[in-house]
Parts: sequence; C-alpha cells; structure tokens
Amino acid sequence: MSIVDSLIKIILEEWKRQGEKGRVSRINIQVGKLTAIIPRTFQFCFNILAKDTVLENAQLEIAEVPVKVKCSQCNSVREIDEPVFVCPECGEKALEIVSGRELFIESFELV
Amino acid sequence: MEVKVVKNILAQNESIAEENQRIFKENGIFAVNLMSSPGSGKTSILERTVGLIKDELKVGVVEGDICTTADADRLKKFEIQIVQINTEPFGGDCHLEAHMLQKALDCLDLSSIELLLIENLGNLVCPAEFKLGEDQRVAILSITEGEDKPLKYPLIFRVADLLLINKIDLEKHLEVDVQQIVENVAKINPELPVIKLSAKSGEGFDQWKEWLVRGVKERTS
Ligand SMILES: Nc1nc2c(ncn2[C@@H]2O[C@H](COP(=O)(O)OP(=O)(O)OP(=O)(O)O)[C@@H](O)[C@H]2O)c(=O)[nH]1
Ligand SMILES: [Mg+2]
Ligand SMILES: [Zn+2]
Repeated sequence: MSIVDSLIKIILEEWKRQGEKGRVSRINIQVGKLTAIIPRTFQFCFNILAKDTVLENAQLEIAEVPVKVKCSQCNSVREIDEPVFVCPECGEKALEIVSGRELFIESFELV
Repeated sequence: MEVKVVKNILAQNESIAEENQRIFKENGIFAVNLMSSPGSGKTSILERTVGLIKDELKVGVVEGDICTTADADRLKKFEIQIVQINTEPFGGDCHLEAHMLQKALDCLDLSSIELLLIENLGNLVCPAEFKLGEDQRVAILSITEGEDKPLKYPLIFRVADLLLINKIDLEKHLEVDVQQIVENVAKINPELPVIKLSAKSGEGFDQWKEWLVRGVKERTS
C-alpha cells in the first residue's frame, strides 16, 4: 500500500510542477522481479488510492525487470529465472544483483 | 503528452533512512532491524536477549506491533527504554518505514542507548524493501515454517546481514530438515551467516550475544 501511496505522491508533485493541467491517463513503471510486487494487486491498490484525484482511472503499465546477476569469478552478466543464486556459466555463488530490485516511475501520460 | 519522471518510488523512504543512520552514528548506537514472518519468535528472542545483555550494554527497544501493545508489555519488566510504534489498526500496515522509526527515536533518550533492537512487523516481503537506517538487518526464520521459505521469499534473505534460525529446541519433535533450510538459504545467499538458536531453551544465544556485542564495540570504538 505505501508503495502505491508514494507513487501517487510523486506523480501528483510532478503534475503540479507541470502546471496542474489535464488528467493522468497512463503511468509507466518498472518493477524488478525480486520485489515481490504482483501487478494485479498493485493496480487494485492503485484504483482505491487514486480515486477522486487526477490519477483516477489511470492505467498502470508495469514493465517487469528480470533478475540479472554479475558473477564475481567470470564476470558474466546473466539472467536467472529461479531463486537460485548460482552463476549459469561457471557455478560460482558469489554474485552481485545488477537488476531485479527496481521500483521506478519512468513517465506518465497527460491528457 | 508524456512526462518523464524517472524516480525511485522508495526514494523518500531511503533519504529518511539515511537521516536515521546519521542519528545512530552521532549517538554511538548500533541499530538492528529484526524481520520475520508472524510468530517466528521476534519478541521471544528480544525478551531473552535483553535479559542476557542489559547489565552489560545499554539497550533500547522499538516495537512495531499491529494495534496492540502486547509485545512491548512483555518487555516492560526489564526497565529499559522501550517505544511502541502504533501502526494502522486492523492491519493496514505490513512493515515499518523510516519515518515511523524517526518519530519513535524522538521518544528515546538516545545518548543513553548503545544497542537499539527494532522489532519489525511480521512479514517477509515488505520489510525487505524498506530500509530504516539500521546498521544491520537480521532475518529470523523458525524451523516450523517449512524448508522452502527461503526459496519463496528470496529478497529478505538476500538483504539480510544475519539469519537466526529459531525454535531449534523443536527439531527433535518435528519432521523438519534443518540442514535443508540451511542449504536453501545458501542457494539464495551463500555469504549470509547463520546462527541456530532457541528462545525457549537459550541454546545458541552465546553466539548471538557475541554478534551483538561485537557490533556495539565496532560502533563505539
Ligand atoms: N518451542 C519454541 N517456541 C518458541 C520459540 N520462540 C518463540 N516461541 C513461541 O512462538 C510463539 C510466537 O512467538 P513470538 O515471540 O510472539 O513471535 P513474534 O515473531 O514476536 O510474533 P509477532 O510479533 O506476532 O510477529 C509464542 O507462542 C512463543 O512462545 C522457541 O525458540 N521455541
Ligand atoms: Mg512480536
Ligand atoms: Zn561465473
């Protein structure tokens, strides 16, 4: 809930900066797969909290960002699709997460 | 018209967390955030820990509890500084945020605290996303929760600095493979140190206490 809350606050601030004109019809966000955010639930919470604001009825476009890791041994950057942190190239376990934790607002559409 | 924003949704929480971290440094406080599912034993571990350590270190506790003060009440007997964070009644909140902790800090005499133990709300998902400004994050998993928990909630085991495996006293009564839990944790985060303990029997608390004392020494030296 409070993630949705922050999202709405940020957009409202930006909307004010843009001169408080029009309504928000679409919001593009990036959500990493490691964040455990479920797009359907997210839209549901959003609909409740956005009611009676200029964001009401806005569509959330949620781009899921895959989990990518960088290997400390062979330096390869690879996507992993299950929660087992092992380098697919060399089997090394010391990996750095390079993507998958994103919670970014990219842009929104004003109409 | 498209308006570019490019902003981290959690940015505000993170900047307040940084302020909290500065407050801890200034006051020589080692702050630990305890995160687990409901009922893993956070309050029980706190009770035993405070009992063990309060004559050696100046301890403060921040209790995040949904609705009630029950957990804080369990710690009253120790005559230490405790502050309760009142979260949304009826369970609207599922984690502590940096601004909630900051408010709680106002209620404490920070100059007379060396170790601050923070009990987060019972949840394995959201607390992993919300930094509080703590020095260390401790995940707690009890052996009654099933061997596959780490694989289902990878992020928390990835962001934690230490894992406590609690209720180890029940191992002999249950068909649970503790080694399997440890192996699954290692798949997610092979560098995560693990301490097995029991808030009931006290087993493992020497090692946990040592970890806390070391943290306080590093902060105050
Ligand atoms: N056998 C056994 N029981 C334990 C142990 N630690 C806690 N318990 C029991 O587990 C239950 C939950 O413990 P709590 O300490 O309240 O757990 P918690 O994580 O603080 O729970 P919430 O604050 O509700 O999320 C209680 O009935 C405790 O007595 C342990 O090491 N062994
Ligand atoms: Mg508790
Ligand atoms: Zn590799």
